Amino acid sequence: MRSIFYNKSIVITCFLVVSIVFPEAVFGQNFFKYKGPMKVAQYDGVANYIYKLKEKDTIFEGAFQIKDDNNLSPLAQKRNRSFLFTGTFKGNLPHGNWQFTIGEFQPKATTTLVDYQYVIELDGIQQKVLGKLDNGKPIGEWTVRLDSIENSDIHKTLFKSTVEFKNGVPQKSFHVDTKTESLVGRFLRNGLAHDQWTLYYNDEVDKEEHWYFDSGLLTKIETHSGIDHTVIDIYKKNKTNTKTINLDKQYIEILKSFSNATSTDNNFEQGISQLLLKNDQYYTEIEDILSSIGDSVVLSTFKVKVPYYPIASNEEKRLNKIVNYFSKSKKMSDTILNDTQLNILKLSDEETATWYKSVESITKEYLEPMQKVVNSHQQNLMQYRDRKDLVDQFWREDIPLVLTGNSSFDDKQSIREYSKNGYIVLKTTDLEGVYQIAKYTESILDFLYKQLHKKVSKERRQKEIISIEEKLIVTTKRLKKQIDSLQEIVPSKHKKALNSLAVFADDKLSVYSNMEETTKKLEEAKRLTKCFTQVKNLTTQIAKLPEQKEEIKQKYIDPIWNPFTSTIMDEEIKKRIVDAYTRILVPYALEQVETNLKCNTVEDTTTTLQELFVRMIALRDEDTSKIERKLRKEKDPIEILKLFGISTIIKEKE
Amino acid sequence: MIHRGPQYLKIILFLMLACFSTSIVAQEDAVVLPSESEFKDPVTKYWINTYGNIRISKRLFWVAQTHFRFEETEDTPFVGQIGQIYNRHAIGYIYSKKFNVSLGGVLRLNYNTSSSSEGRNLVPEWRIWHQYQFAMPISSAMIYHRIRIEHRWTQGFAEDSKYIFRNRWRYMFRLKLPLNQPKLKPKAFYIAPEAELIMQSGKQVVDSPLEDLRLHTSIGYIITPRLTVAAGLMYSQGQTLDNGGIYKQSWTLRTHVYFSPDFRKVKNKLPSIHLTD
Repeated sequence: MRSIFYNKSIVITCFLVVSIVFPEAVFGQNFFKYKGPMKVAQYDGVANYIYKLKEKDTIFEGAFQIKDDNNLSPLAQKRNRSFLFTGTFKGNLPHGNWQFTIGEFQPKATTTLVDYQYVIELDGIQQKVLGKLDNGKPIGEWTVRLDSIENSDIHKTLFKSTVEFKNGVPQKSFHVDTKTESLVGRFLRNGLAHDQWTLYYNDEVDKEEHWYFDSGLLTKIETHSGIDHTVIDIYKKNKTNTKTINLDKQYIEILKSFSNATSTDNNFEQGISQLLLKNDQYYTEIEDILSSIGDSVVLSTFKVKVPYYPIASNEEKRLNKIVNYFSKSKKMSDTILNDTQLNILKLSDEETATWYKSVESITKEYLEPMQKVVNSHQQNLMQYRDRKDLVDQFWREDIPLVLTGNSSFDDKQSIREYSKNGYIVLKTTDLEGVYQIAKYTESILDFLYKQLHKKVSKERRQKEIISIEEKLIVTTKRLKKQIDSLQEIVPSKHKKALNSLAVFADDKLSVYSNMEETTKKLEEAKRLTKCFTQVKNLTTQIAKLPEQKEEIKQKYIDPIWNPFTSTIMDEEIKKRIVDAYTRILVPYALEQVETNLKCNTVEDTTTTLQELFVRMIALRDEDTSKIERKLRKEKDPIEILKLFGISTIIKEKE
Repeated sequence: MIHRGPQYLKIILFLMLACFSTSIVAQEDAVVLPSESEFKDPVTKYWINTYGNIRISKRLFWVAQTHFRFEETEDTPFVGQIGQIYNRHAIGYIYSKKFNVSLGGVLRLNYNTSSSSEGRNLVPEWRIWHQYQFAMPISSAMIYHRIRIEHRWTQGFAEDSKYIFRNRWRYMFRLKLPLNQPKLKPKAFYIAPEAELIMQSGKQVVDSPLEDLRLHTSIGYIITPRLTVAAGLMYSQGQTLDNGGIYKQSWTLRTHVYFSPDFRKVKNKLPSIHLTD
């Protein structure tokens, strides 16, 4: 007895604990409640919903709510975005009434006291969408409103649309109203736009816009403005090849490209098209929100028909080639037209001017229309365009023949076959015609690009050679000046070497000046400039030799104690090394300078002398007994340099 | 020229023995001083002198001198015969640039140059010597004062000749004056007049303390700091030991080689001049 009672108590206690801690578990077998952070489309907020688990997937079932997580501080004077989406789900699809409120508000600076509470009023804009769905499909009346809020009250309605749905398909008629305009349109039962869609301007009498649909196919657009009355024919009735598409951004683009091609005044930037686009945007946004919670739904449901011309695979290839030719052409044309040097050169050079002008004409006459063709293809709009007369659609006037002025090029180009009285007359005006133009454009631009490039290169080369020659002259002058000033201070044996350096420079310059104007001359000028700079360094080094010699002499003196005189006497030490330096190496270097100098040995000679000096200073304190022993016999300067450990050796010959 | 035979030597020997034995010298053998000083004829000599100063440490050097001394014969002046071969060694200490001292020994080989003598041909002579040399720069020249003290054991050529001991007191004044250079340096010729007074003392020295007065002038050439050559002429006179009234004289041609090698390793040499560091 006691044990049974004891067991029952445990069970009841457990149940109570579970029901307190996990209340959702009590609702039913599979339902859970969630309250916490969630992100829906671009909205970050706090959600509160019921769901069940089906094979570890969350299935929304029942009430759903998400709202912003703003703690609106009365002192925060910043703009706040708030939102609230509420509705219900059934089997992961929105089902039942839904409400979407999105607002942007700014708290007012002043607060008022109402019923013992401080009240902060808000200004801003609020967007509200109300509608009902049946298993994810819109039904009944849907409204979209955009209101401006002032002092926490609706001040104006900026946008309002009402659409009647049945089983996800818009029915009967719809209204779109703004502050200044009202649009009314009709649908067929299947949701296709039909009959006359009219836009009235509230403030302007006699201003109207009418779109005429025939079972989804837009046949004409009429606009009235005062006494102006424009009718634009769009598609002919009874088109056989049509395709039903959404009345959305792409549709407007199709109309735009049609209008571009046919030179209508309607640019589809205002009026009916803009209202439809705006309305579609609202529905698309709600569609995105709902689809990012549960299964995807479709709300953008206005349907229209457009003529449809499927693109064959050979056409696809042609289109890709056109794009290819176009991008090459565009690149060349941009490069040419933006080249600053060409822009200057064309002022002085007639040929350049002619070519430059040709490029300008080609860009305007060929490339700009072709850009539209390419855009149309890239936006996937080509399939809705009759390509039989594609050339005429984009080149509404005759295409002038642009020539390069170079007869050998102009004559061989096949396009000339189609020219007539300075205009191009193509055999076909379909895609193939456009292809012909693209190909021709590319080849003519390629020709002109190369010609102009040559011009610029030649110009650049000439400018370069002038600047390099200037540099060369300056370098030579400096060298001569240095030699002249050093002549006065160096001993006579060094003078000879310096003189030969001056002669060396003169010889090189005279050879250079007799050269023909080729690219080689430019190279030679660069080479000589470098060479003379090196020669200048060599003269500096030669001028330093006497003082270096003296420094070495001093360095190789050891003051020693003479016990017989009780005086300190300077003793020359390592005489063989010093002798090798003064009697063999330096004379050898000078001899090389005088008799055997080449541009490519100048630097080595300088380096050898510099290194030699450094080595001589170092050898003073090194153990040199081996070197000194070898020097007894060695008289060859190259071998002595090696013996001294000089890495750069003056070359005998080039 | 005065020649003294073995007879004379015997007399000297006798005198020495008499001194040692403290017995009274017999009157008939007494040396008679001349009423006036008597100068013998000068003897001509030729000396080849080598002077080595071998540096062995920062302050110490080894003095190594070898002299070859020739003198005339009847037929040949200056170089007729070998007189002495003279080896002088010492360890020197460089106290400062201006003062150094040396202490060492001498072995001199004396050849019998007397044609009439029947004694030995060659006898050794031993000395202990120490020297104190001061150097003073004056303008471009150098002045040296040299005090040399020798403790000397000599013997005669006679078979039974015994060693006698004497002290020598030497002072030399020497000047070295460069001729073609502003100072004494390599490639400089210099002239070096010198005067040395050599006094002696000892039991055998009775009336002849002035052993030698040397007046020597040489011309030298400094080839390198380590090698100098010089040549000169020296006149000297001094009392004979046995009779203070009789003076010997000589004219000597001298050639000198001065060398001062330094076999120390380079690292030990430095700094060679900063003696007082």
